[in-house]
Amino acid sequence: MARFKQSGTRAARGVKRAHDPEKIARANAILRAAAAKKPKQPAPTLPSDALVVTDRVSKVYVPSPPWMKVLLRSSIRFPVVALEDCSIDVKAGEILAVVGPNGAGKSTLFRVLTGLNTPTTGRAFVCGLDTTTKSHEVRRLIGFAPADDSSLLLRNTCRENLVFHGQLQGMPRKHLQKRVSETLDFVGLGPAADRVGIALSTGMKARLQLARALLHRPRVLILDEPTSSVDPIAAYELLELIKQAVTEQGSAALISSHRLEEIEALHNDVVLLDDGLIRYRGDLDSLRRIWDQPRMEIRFHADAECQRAAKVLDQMHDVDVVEVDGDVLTVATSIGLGKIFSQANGQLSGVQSIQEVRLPLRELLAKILIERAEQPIQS
Amino acid sequence: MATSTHSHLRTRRRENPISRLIAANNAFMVLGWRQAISYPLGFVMTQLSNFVPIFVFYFVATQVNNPSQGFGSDYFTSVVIGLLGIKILDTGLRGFGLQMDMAINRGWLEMFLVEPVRWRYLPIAMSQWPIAQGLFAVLTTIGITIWLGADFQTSGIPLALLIGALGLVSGLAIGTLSAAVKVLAKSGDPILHLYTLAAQIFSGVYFPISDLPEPLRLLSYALPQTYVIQGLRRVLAPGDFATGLSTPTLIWTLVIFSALAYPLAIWVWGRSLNYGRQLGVLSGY
Repeated sequence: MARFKQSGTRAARGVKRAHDPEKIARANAILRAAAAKKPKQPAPTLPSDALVVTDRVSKVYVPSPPWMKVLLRSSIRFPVVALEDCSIDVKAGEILAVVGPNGAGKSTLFRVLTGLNTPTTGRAFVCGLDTTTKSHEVRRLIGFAPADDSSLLLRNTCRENLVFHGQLQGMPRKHLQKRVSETLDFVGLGPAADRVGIALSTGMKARLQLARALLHRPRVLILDEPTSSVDPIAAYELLELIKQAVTEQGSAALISSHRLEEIEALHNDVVLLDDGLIRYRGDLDSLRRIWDQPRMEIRFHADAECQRAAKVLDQMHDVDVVEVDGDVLTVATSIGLGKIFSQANGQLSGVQSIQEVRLPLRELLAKILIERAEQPIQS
Repeated sequence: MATSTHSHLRTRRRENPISRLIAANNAFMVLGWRQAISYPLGFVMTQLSNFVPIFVFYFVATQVNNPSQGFGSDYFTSVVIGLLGIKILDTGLRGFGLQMDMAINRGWLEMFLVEPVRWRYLPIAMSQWPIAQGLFAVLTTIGITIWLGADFQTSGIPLALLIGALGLVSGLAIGTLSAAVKVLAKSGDPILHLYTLAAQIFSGVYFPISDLPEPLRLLSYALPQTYVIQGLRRVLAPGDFATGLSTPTLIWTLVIFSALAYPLAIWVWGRSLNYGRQLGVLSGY
């Protein structure tokens, strides 16, 4: 653990110059916890039906040691917290959507689960196997699709891509050919099986990535922004395929995405990551109940009536005037419509229609992230 | 192992490491071939470039045929043997590194590392195609140079094969050590670059190492290239080789170097990847 001590000391020196001392203090606290000599941790008791479990996983990226700087200029000067105390579990048949802004820690979480990163503190398990100590075994159980399609062998055909992957998976040759055809058919690439990767459309490449992840019937699917580069129709079809695969294979899936309307369409749990912390874990309906203040859109017969009503409602407690747009007034309120009219005492005239509006998910999440709760909230 | 029970794990097939290694070897061999033939002209030009030095030194030899002690009686044959030795070692030295470069540049390496192939198998599996290419170049070089008049001693072929194999393993060891640095540094190959420069000067490809000043000659004996080239000349080239190390000494030195260096290199490669996991640099190539 000398490395952590050294990094911590260097980081401590750097605190004076850092732009965000609080973040560096967080990083150093995690590094100190990792460096502290602890008795060997017993294996935590995991939910028996959870295929993916992370137990208070933190990851701090530290600056490269001096000898490595001779070879490669370090991209970071101070320790950076990528994940902090991240605890999740995903059961068979579940799809967990991981959402958050760039740099939130989504990719780090996926790299910990695929064994490409080791947690600084905490432990991660896939099918009960520790991703740090049983990385090789874990890699047999996961199907991974990275965010971009450069990992495909673009000079090879779809079939050759899958055969190569199947060979590395140790699949028997006879079984492999059959399974490759099945998988290509499943993702709709059967007719393009002998087309080279470079000749595929972006949507087809995304399907090929999914086919590669599904080929060996993994217990856990880890899909990093699988729909990021495809059009909405292709994205919808891809998500339907993922849902179907998860249901048929009884696997668990983790999906990161920036397309929040797609996440909403999955009707599954989400984890909202921000700055390495889990801000929310649960279903989107609960998230709305906690964070989404109901909004009313009131349409008036005339603009002047709308302006007058805005002034009246602005005086009321528990009512926020969000927007005045011509003859339409939008208010956010936690009290009922009846109470509003009763408190207005007849001053709201000329109302043509009233309807409840839901905040678009992206605005809701942006609101949560901007408000940055002091403590992580959990459902 | 965590305390939860997962019945599906018990039902999975037992892994046979040999068949897994063979499967991985085959996969990378086929991948290498497909990549090579994806750029046919580039592939042909690369193959042709192997033979340019042969013709250069054929004509040099006609001007310089002045036998030197420890260099055999035929300059052309001795230089060709030197070039063969360098080619064999280069195949080992650069084979895995070049495959790594390709994997890094095309964005494949992260995917290879996520595949369930033991990381210590990768230097072996990814070297298969470069080794096959290198052997093809060696065999065709021998054929062409015999046609041009090189005078190889056929009785020395079995020992030459042994020395060549040991040279290949030595090259693979140094190449794997270099790749262990490259996987953390992500690009560039400073160690191998320096090593190749040194080897060209000190291993006696173009002139006998007896011509080097005494302190530099010591440096020559630190390089496996020197033993491979000397050994190949002793068993294949015509002429008197009374000076220098004996053939058994050269072979045993290579045996010991290969037996120690290759397992060490594979171990260092594994440690390097584990260190990369801690630093979090095994992605974003």
